[in-house]
Amino acid sequence: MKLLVIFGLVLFSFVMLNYSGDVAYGQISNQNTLKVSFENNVLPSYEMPLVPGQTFTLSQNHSWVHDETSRFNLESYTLDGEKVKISRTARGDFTLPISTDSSHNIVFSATQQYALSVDGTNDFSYLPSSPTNDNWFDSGTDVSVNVQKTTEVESNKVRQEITGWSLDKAEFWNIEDDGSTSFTTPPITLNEYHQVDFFAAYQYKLNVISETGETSGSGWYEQGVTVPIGVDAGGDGLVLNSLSEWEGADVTYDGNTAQIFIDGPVTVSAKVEKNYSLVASVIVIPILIIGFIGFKKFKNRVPPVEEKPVERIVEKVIEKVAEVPEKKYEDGYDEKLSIYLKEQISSKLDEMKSSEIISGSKYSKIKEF
Amino acid sequence: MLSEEDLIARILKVKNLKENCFKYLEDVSKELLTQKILFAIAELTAEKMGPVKLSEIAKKTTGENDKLKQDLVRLTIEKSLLKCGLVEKLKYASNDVRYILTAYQFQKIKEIDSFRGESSQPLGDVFQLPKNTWPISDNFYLLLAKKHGYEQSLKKLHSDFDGDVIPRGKYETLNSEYTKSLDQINEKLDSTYSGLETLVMTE
Repeated sequence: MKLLVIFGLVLFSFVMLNYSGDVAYGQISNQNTLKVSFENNVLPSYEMPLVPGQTFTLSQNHSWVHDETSRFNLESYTLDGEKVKISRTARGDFTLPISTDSSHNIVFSATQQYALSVDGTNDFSYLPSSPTNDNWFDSGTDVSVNVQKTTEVESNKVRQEITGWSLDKAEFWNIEDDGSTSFTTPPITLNEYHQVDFFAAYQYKLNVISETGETSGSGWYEQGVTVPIGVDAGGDGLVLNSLSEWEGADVTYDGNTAQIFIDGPVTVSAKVEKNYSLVASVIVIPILIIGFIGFKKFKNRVPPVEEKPVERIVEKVIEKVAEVPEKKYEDGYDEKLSIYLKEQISSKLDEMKSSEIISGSKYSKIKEF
Repeated sequence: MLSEEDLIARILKVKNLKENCFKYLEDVSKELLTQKILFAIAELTAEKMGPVKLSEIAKKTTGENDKLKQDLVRLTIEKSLLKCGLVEKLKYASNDVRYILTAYQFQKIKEIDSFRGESSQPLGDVFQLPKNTWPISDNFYLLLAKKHGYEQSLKKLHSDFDGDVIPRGKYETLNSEYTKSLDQINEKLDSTYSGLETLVMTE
């Protein structure tokens, strides 16, 4: 009985093995394949079986790293001789459904790309833009970077002004203040990795205000500069306005010129006061003159007072003193001393010139004087 | 442009400089464009008695003032002299930028970081730019020379009076006249040019 059971199991196993072996043989003998290769062998080729009746989807990365500074990006594929362009993108996988009823041959075409990095600003764009909508560009493309010169940090108070740029941290250029709002670099050929750095300086808003008249000096300035400011206070008819002081910040004011040191956003206001001096000279003074003349006329009518004997005596004494002959001094001494003075001044100037206290040009000017 | 008072303040000021900035003043930098620019700004400022334009600096340092040379000079000023605080940039208008030295005397310092915080220690003597590059008005030098002249003349006058060369009357008149002039000169030197005389005349 045991032998019968063992025999039965062996027979069952043999039959089952033979059945599955037929299936495998059938599949291999009818198998379709997909050959995948890449132009210029940018990636190794490979081949895979296609199972009839089953759906098959081919998947390939859009971009893959080539070396430390470049990558490859899919451009198109040729399926059984028919070329199809691929919508280009930097990230993700490109997928393509493949029919499994026959064998196929697909060749991918990819282009080498290099990155162009920009530092120092976020307000910029590439001209032309990247085909993969990032900062990578096809090899050999000429690309410019367009940057907005000013970026407001705090509305109407602080802003950043782009003042220069460099390529690969090797060459530096200043950006001229030509009145334009943006700057575009010359074309940069992307046949290797490039880095563009922009240099910016903070600028602060200076507001010069006044209730009357026109002010000067308002604008954007870099930190650390000294800016001259002013106000033309004007006037109302005969009443003139004059500047009395500056308020709001530490203004250096000497009565004629005013300057302010820029150390942040600042507003200064001119304190203007009314000056009535012109009113006084035009109206009040004529009134006083008329009054004075009137007074004089009135005074002239008063009878003259007789001189007193004491005044006559004093006058005589003064006349006698005046008659005393002036004492004679040594002739020409004043002139000699004056010449000596000039010689001493001149010798001191010569000494300062020879000891390099005074420059040659200044020495000549002073000597003429 | 700048007041005489402002220029004098720059001369009297002693500015501390770290070693990496002080090097621009030393002999080792004699051939560097940076030092040439520094001295050119000083000389031009002394001549004009005010801040100077980039084109003038470029012309004095390179012999030319085309755009290329101006860019080179501007870049040098901005990368080194402005950062070190040796030069100040004054913007009078969008197209009128001028430069001037912040000081004419400099002290090399060494910065020390410790648990008490940062401190600095002076190294060596105070460095002075040549006195003939200081922006001092002609009037000041003339006052110095006149002061010397009147002092010497008064000495002679006293000596002549003691030697009976002149009578008392003449002596009194001239002594009063010359003393009054000398007092006026001293008053002007003490008020307008306070501190400058000692600095200029000290070796």
